[in-house]
Amino acid sequence: MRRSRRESAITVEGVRKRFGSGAQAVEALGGVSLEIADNAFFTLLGPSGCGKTTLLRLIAGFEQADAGRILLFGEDIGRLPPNRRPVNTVFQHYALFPHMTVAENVAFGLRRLGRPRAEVEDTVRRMLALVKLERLADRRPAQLSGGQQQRVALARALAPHPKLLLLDEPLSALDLKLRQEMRVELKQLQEETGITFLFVTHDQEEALTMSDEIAVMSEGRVQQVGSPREIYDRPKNRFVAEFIGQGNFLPVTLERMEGGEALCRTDFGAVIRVAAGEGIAAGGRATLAIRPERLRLVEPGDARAVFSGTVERLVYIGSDTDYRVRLDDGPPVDVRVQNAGGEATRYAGGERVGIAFDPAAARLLPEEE
Amino acid sequence: MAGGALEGGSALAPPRLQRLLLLPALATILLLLVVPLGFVLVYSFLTPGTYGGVVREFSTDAYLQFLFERDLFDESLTFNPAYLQIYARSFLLAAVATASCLLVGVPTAYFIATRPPSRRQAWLLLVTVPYWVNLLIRTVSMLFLIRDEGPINAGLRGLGLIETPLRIAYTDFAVGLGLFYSYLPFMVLPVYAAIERFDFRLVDAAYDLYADRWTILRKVVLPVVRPGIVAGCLLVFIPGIGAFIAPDLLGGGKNLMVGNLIALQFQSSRNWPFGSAAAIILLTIVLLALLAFVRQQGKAHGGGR
Repeated sequence: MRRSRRESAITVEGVRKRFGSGAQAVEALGGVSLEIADNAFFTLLGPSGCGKTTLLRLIAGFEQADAGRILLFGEDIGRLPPNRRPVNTVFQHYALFPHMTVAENVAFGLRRLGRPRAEVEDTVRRMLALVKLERLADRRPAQLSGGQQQRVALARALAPHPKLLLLDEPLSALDLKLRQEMRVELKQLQEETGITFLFVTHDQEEALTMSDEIAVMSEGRVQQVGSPREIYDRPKNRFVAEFIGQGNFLPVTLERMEGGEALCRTDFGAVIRVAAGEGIAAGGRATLAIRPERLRLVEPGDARAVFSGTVERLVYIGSDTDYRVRLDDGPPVDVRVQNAGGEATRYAGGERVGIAFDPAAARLLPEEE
Repeated sequence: MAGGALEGGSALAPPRLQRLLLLPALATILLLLVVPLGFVLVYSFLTPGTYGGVVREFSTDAYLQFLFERDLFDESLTFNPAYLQIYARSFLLAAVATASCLLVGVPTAYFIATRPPSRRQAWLLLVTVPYWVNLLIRTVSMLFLIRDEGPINAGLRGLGLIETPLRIAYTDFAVGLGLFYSYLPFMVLPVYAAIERFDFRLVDAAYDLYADRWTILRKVVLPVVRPGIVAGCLLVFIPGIGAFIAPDLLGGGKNLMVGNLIALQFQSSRNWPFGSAAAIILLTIVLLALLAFVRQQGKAHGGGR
């Protein structure tokens, strides 16, 4: 299925949207540009109010952009009403038609498109098989569980075979276990149907597990676009680093640049050598970001130790143990140790420890105004 | 709807006690509806007394009188459609009033239901304003408005649009107008309740699935709010048929409706058995119509809920 240069399914160019007028106007989107590859599982990730749902509604046609263009396979769809766009939506609360059976719900879009009866029946059967609901075809939505309703909503939106499927936090109403199962199923569904999925969520774990590509949004702007790995390992700024996963953030002064590496000094006096990224120059200030699982606890005085400190507390969470270590003259940092061997709970509260890490695992983030 | 039946308030009242909660209502219905209705049914099969009341003597005359006229001399029966016409007029006028209430009430209800929640209460209060004034007073004022010397005719004549006064008062039109006005809130309130509960995200969903506005209205909005509309129609139509004040005042008592016919039998005509029979016939027709309607609804929904 993978082509060397994938066609763009949807292109968003400089889209702006504000709601309200005058002094009460709220800018929902402040110039968003995105390119979503055909046959991709693309996720818009961000906290509530970041504009991700607004962008989804603009692409679906429920709202009109104030500026910018939205292209679907090269065709400008910005002025088309929702019923003229070959784009379907799975709504957050499913919005199933309560007076229709499951089969009638799934057939709704096909009927409106004027497909012949035999074709409608055939497609409905195939869709219900796809989401494993064949036996519930004659039930009404009120007689289904949340997970089943979710599948009906999926089948209904997939039935007309849209060029793009929009999913607006579709898993948020399900309980944890079901949510985890549905993640796998959604991803499979995307691969089986070959339809481009644009998935909106505020749940970073959902985004990381399902997506080919993620756009992290905040305050109406795209902060970073990349694969789950890129977003997690090489966050572009503090917002992305903080929103995805956990992190330790230490303010540093950049002392000297040596090749691709920067020598920086933390505010509590430790000197560290880490790989420099873009926007990093000697003499300036920056933030050193490092994930808790990238830090290691070593004996105090160990030659590998970069920092030293005292264990404040530790929380055993099954697969891992989370330590909080107060650095000498510095802030506390979080360290996550895998419970693979016996060493995870080797240190107790109040004990002195050293902290080591691989310089390549740390990121220098440019200072933000 | 979703969520399953709740055994509500079981902490406040244990299930066995909860049944007792219905007792006052059941007693009221038994005492004030079932028992009097039983009297009416019995009276309809008795013989009228000379000065009103009944004589305890079995007779089906009351029902025969509904369809036939008994010749005073040879006691032969000839078909007389006069009473049937009264019933037909009642149904027709009630139907017209119901249709008018739909035309005015549904948009009103939609308007109120789509206001911000904080303003809806105020709008609903306005809908009930007419009920602060007695129905008789409202109907009489309506008569003042539409009679030959009333402000409407005076105004039209003043503008030179008409020479002879428009005949509005004491017509079927006036009666229909009265019914429409009297029962309009009964249409607005249940329809409002249905639209207020309506999930407008369904409109987005249908729009997204290639439906145009008309199709959304026909296939999604109307079917979902239909129970409210049906309730409104029943609440207007059923009391409309038996209405008494509007036809009496606005129709001038000339073109009778069922309510007036029944009232007449108990007042000036002093034929209690016939009045009772007329009431029983009305009740039977309404019940049959309701039954047919409910069955047809059941079929249209494929036996669903």
